[in-house]
Amino acid sequence: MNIERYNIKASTSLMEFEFVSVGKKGEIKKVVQYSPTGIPNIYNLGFGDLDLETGEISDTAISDNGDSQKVLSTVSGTAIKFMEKHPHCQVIAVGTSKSRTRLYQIGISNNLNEITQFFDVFGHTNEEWQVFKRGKNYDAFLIRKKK
Amino acid sequence: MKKVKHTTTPKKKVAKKQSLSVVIDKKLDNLSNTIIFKKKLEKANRILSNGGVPA
Repeated sequence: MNIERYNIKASTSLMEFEFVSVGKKGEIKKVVQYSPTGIPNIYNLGFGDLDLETGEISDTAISDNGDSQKVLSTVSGTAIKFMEKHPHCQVIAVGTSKSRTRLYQIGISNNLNEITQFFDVFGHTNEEWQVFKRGKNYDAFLIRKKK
Repeated sequence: MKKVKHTTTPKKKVAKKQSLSVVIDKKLDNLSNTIIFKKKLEKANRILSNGGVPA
């Protein structure tokens, strides 16, 4: 089995990424951005579709392009690249809806073996952080480099 | 003379990750000054202010 990823473009700081999802609905441009939160060295993972006609970016659009595994694997790859460049930083990921958050959860679960080689992964539930476990539901995720 | 059968242990199938190809595109530097995903950032900040960070 070969888990594929899209090739990505990145800004110089490796805080902004762009790739093109190719599927049953055609080509959809995806944008990933790591932006600073209110807590130093914790960055929020933002991810959404760029409408090529209007130039608007939506983080709520459901593209249903039939390539979600490849897309999620690519996004998880951007997190790894971001933290390689910014090793002192932690990344928090929150979905805009329960279904979006679940998508992130699936993405992390599918890439957990690779991610946990170098990173600790936590899930947030009932107002507390726990070590991420497959099959458990969380409302947010945090990834940081292993100490 | 009896033929000796040589058997090989089947290789375990392991999921291979395609290495991620990253090309730097300076056009994307223009996005640095804009927070694109404000809703998600607000939500993340709420969680961080209530739940802090993992120990």
